[in-house]
Amino acid sequence: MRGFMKGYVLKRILQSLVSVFLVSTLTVFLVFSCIPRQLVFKGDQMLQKLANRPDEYQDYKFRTWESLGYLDYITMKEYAQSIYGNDSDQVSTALQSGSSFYERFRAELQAKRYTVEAQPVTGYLYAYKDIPTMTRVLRWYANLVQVDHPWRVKDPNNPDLKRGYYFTKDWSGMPALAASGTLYKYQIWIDGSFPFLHQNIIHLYMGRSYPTYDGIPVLEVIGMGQGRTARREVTTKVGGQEVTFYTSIDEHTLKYKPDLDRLDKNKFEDNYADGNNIYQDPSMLGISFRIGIMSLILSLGIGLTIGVVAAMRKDKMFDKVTMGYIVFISSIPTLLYIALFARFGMKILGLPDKFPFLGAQNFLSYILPTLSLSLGGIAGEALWIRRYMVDQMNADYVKFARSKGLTQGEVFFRHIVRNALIPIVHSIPMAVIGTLAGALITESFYAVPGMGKMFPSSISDYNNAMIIALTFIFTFVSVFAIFLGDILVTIVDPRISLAARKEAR
Amino acid sequence: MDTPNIILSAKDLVVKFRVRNKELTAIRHISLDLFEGETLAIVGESGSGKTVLTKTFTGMLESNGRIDNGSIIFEGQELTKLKTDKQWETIRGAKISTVFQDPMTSLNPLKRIGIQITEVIEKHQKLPSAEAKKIALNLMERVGIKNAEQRFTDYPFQYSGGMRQRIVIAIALACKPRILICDEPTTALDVTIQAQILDLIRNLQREYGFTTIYITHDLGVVANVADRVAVMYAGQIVEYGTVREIFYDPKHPYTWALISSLPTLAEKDKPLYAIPGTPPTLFSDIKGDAFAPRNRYALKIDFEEEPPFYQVSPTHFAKTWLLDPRAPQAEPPDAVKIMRERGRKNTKQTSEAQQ
Repeated sequence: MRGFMKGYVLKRILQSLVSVFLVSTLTVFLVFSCIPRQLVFKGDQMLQKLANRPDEYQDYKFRTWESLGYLDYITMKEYAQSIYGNDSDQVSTALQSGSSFYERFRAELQAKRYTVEAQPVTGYLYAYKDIPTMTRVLRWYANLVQVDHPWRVKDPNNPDLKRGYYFTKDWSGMPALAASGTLYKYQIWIDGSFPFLHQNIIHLYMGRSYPTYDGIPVLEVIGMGQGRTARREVTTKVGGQEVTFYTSIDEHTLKYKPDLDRLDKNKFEDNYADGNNIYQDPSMLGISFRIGIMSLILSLGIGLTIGVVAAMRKDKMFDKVTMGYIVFISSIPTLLYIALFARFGMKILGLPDKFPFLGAQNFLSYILPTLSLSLGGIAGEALWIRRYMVDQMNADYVKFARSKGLTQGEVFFRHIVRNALIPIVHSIPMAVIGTLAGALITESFYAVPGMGKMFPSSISDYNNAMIIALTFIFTFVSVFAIFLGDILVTIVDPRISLAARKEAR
Repeated sequence: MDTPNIILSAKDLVVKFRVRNKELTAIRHISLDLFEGETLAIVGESGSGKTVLTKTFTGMLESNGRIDNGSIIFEGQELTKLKTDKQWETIRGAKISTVFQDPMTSLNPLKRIGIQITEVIEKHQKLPSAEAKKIALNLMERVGIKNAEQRFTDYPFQYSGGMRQRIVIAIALACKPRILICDEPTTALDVTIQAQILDLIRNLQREYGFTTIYITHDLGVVANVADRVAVMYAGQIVEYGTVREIFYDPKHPYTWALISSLPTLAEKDKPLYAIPGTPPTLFSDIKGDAFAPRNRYALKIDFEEEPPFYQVSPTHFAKTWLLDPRAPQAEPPDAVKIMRERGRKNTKQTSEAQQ
């Protein structure tokens, strides 16, 4: 039986991966082919500043498109540099007007199927070629998984860069595996935050965010901390001497930096000096997950309890009040009951009705958003469990269990509840993972800096990389959450086995 | 033949239900004695109150139903006074057990077979689980489950329908009840399994000495297993007697109609007999004999006054005006005459065999 199960699990994982692949390919395809590329500049302030400098305006636009993967772009200067070397005098000669290099550039690049045009003011030539949509899709996947290794950094100014792994301690004195020659200094390390063992060897890269959160890889946008940077005192050794300084840099994100300035040399022994900041507040993902998971626990705890009790007291006062609550919550608009609840929370309980008043550090900020989110969840869980319980109460096995002499309570808790919970159990993984997507209405009402707004705003901002990345992530986790739900059900329901092929007696 | 002990006695029982703010009378003044060790079959069409009657013996009436009048005495105890689960604890499942119609759904699908048996033993006999398991295994073997030890930890879905009904019977008998109520125990099973289950119940009855009440509309089953038969119509018992008396010499026109509709008695090339009309609604008071509107032998008085029970023999009673000395002689239908003939032959054969 276990053998069959393994086969089934493998098959399901494969199917899940295929569906994730299909959905994200379709999304990449649609985003690149259906959204006009001119629209990506809609929110770009920089471009508006360049409006009266046509040459730079043109250059900026094409460089941005190139970085977003729409086209290949090459200027005459770059082409000359690639032929004569970076600092050669021949480069400036080639760029002088009337130089024969103009003809050469035009001819050679047109031969490579580039479109060649001249800049409006200086008349310098540039060439560009569209990248076919299919190639863009393939490139997206090719860049998806990035593996760090000791031969990754190629710095011509630093030919003596050591390459290899070594054990060390990080700034807080925890053991870590570090490396030289890699992009990241710390490869594997341990700390007190979930999941305790961390790595930098494999990174997922889904493009960079643009025009909002410009230049930051999209996964970092949703995963990095927010608010003010958090500084702390660090003591480390530089050149055999102990140095102590205040910094907000997270040493685990240190990357290779080719050119060190004086300040860097005071803090770092090697070229790994480019790190991200530590922030005081959790990431968007973190805030949404905190609020979501707390409200899910409340919804399940309270909702299931009152649903079960309502079923036990069917048609009595408690049941009627519960049903009244469910009807109230499901019939009036979400925004309305959240607003009512927020007012109640602020006037009577004195809680902040906007998240930023007290900030992410303060526990009180989370109370109203969490409770607001649970209001609907409680109603939903109560409605379903009550309904499943009532279904089960009329089942023959319940009649028989009663006729065995078990009391109503014994029948309820030994027989009915478990049967009624099966469909609920199936939906739990999906609900847990659903919290990652954030809650749009609740989060915008309380001005919570969470995930809820990300998807709609990335669409309205034409932040293509973000749209694709979010679609990919949500598809991936949903497909696996459903799979997890199926596995959970096989644990609680003996009738369902994942070895579907081998029929039981 | 000495008079057997009465184990359960219902007197003038009335059961009412509240349905959509209307009062429905499901049982109308039933009196019934159950003798120790006998097998009583209660027959009647759907909605005649067979199941409701037996539910009052175990306090299993739905929450909208109540016993309006009458008494049920079981081993000297007044059952109509018991209200809560706690009060019923020593009776239900311990002294009076029930086997339901559909074995496919009578067991909790998520619990192992063994646990469902030991649950009732632990509940009523307050035994440690190891001993309860021993009793359960013994029971499983008694009801004909091979390698009981192995199948103890199986789930219901791993059992066939017949096997599940055996388990249901094992659970019902786990505490050696005095009365076993079988509510259409074989309806959901195929014919070969039906016979096995009926045999099993009969053998176990001989062994344990309990009293059985069969609720059924299958007259074939009745003829096979019952000692006595009670015929119910519209919340009343209209005729009762020994199985021979009911089959070979029925008196009530409703019993006649039932026997006439037996397919085995039908003649070739003639349509099967069906009782015309539908049973009366139980929401309103019924005047006279409830069967009168569908009865082609109905007398004028049947529509005006309810008939009393007339005694036919010391064991045979029927509730019809036809037995009144003032009533005209009614010619029973052909099917009943055939049955009478068979009965006569049967008696002759048995008496010859005895000689």
